[in-house]
Amino acid sequence: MQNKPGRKLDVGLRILGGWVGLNFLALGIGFLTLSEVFATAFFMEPARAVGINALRGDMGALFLGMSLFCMLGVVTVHRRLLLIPIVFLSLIIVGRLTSVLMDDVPLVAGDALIAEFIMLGILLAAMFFTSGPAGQNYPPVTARSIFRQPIMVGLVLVLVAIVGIFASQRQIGMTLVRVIGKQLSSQDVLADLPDGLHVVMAGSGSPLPDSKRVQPCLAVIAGKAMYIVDSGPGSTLRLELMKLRLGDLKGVLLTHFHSDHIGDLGELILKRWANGANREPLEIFGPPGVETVMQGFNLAYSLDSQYRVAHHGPETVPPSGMGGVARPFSFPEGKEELVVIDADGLQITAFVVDHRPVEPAVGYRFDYKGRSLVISGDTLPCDSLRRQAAGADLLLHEALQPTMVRALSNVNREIGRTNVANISTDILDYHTFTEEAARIAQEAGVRRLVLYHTLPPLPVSVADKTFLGDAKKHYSGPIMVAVDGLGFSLPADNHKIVKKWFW
Amino acid sequence: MKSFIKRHLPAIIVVILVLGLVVRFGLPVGLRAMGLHAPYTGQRYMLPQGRALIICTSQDTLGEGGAKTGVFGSELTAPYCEFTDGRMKVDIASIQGGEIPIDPISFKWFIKSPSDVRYLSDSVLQDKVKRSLLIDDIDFTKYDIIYLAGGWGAAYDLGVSKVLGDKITRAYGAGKVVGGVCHGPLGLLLARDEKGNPLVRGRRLTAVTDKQVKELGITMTPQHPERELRAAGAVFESSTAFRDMFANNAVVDGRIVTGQNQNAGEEVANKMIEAAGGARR
Repeated sequence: MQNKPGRKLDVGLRILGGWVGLNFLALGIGFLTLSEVFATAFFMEPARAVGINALRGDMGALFLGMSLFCMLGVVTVHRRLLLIPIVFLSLIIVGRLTSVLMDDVPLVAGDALIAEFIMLGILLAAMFFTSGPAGQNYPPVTARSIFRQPIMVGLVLVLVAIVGIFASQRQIGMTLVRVIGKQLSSQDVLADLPDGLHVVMAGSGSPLPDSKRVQPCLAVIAGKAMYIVDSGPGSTLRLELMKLRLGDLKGVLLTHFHSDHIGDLGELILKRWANGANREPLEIFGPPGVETVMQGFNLAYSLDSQYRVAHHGPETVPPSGMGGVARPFSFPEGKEELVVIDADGLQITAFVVDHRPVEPAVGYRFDYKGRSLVISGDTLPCDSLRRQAAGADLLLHEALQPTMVRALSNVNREIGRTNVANISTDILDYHTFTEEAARIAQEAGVRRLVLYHTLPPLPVSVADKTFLGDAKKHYSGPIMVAVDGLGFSLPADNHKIVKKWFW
Repeated sequence: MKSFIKRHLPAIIVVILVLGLVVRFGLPVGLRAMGLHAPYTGQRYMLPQGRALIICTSQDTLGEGGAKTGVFGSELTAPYCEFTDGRMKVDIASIQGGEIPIDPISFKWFIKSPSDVRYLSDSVLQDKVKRSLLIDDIDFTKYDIIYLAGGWGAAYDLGVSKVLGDKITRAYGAGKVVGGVCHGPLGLLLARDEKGNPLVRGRRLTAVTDKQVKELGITMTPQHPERELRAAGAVFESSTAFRDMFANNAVVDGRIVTGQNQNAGEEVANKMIEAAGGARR
């Protein structure tokens, strides 16, 4: 504090350090009081409601603690206390970078990472470039030197804020309904996408329960036209949570009629009708058999539809738009492929796959403005798919990891669940192994392989590596294990394949 | 000396530990690199709804001394894994039925192959080996593939079983694919082709070489595949290495598929599936 410029720097850095501390304080109070709101902003809302306990506790403590030592460091003479938030901030950054290296998902917290680097820089500068006692002269950390007036006033204010927020939860909830409700309703995911071909995984799992993957459902968007391939149980909710407007849905394409591919059709058809005041029933494309499926769903939902028309009126829910209409297609004699949709630059080709004893079973190829993606449906390795996938930008192939499924089967046999053990063994003979999918991708020369319909469930990402097994040895391109919320964009004006997070 | 050990004790412990780790993890890798159970990188095939029969020896002792022997582990486990991964149903049979003896050296830590590891954790397969079917009770023509596993035990009973010879004759006559590895092809000796001639006569075949038998010093067995097959008129083919146990060779002659030794299990299995009309996987 010998000269003026030094003093200015000193005050400036301490103010900046205080600003960092206030940021942590806001996060800390936020996580403590409105845990899920803050968690949502960081894509970390608890998968199960009871996780709010850990959110409030752990996240609240982390940021409040960082904030406290940050403030003490800049307000009192104990500059060295800044070391505590510096260590934590560094560890947070290390953790994030670890995730970038380890986790094969789009980086959604890039902004947070940048902010953390800036804050780390400020704290380091504040610790090393501001004056204060050093070396032998460093005073002992005493209660008196810590609990000085500004700190006490701050603590009281924080307490008041926390109590205030808890006391006004009703009002905050109401405000959130208006603000978030408006934001959600006006959000138009399709409008924000560049012209091109896009695929979003609303359901990337299988019938076995997987907390990260519901049963198969893929949304394919070409320009502004959205189609759904398969409607596995649980997937309609996922589509809605991804803010895809179901009222705009053009049609549904079914690969085959196993429950995990059709189970949510009733819900999907209803949501599309109610959200868009559609006057035409939803078109459901599929190989022969789709008529039977639609007859059943239309019948099951006929009472519901009547109630809704009676209640909301035909303007809101036009009776002509209720339900779905089957659009069966068959392959001409000796052919294994058929263009089922050709409109607005989008061509959808259905092709035969081998999921015997399930017959018929098909896959779909989408071509739009020079970009292409292929969806396998459920199948064994098959030549028609190899041909259809030739040169595609993206191949979404079903995949089963036999070593893991066999291990699960053995476990079930050991504990006496013979039925489950037998089913696990049976499924080995009509799905494609991960390494086989990789070889198919290599042979077909696709640019990127995404494995979906994953068997067994992979509720923790560390299992993804086990799932892939030796697949990477067989395919020179990038392989990814699908997870609900993940999507890929194939813009029409370049050759990129962009990994995106839709949820 | 004593003080040297005392002074450098931590370093000595570290050196021993490192050496131990190098041997433990390096030896299997080294053997694999030399060719023992070298991983099969060729095209794989599948035959969904198809059936395969693996036939093993029932001979569990070797020569006068009575050393334990049987089927060589990987010659049973590798084809089993390839057939099951090829979506086939697999049965396991033996000359006398019941528990199949496995050569105790098969599963030594520096020898065992990935398919052996799989066997050791697969209770279904272990059960099939423990309660193998008796070949006399089986209609071979119900299978798409008849595979003969080798091992020293097979030198005693495969080549002299009339039942086996007759059943292979019938399976081959019904258009099925037959073959095996190592000592397994001895089981083809008594079989006949559609014209009633010995099945192996004039056919291209491979099996374990006389050189490998000599190198391993187990010459007391009653039959040596190379010698017997040549004597029966087969066109014997083989490849060689500085020790033949590291060599690998598989030969396809129509519906007869043979492999030189334990290294050929996966390849022979896949070529058999291909010969049986399988699809690429």
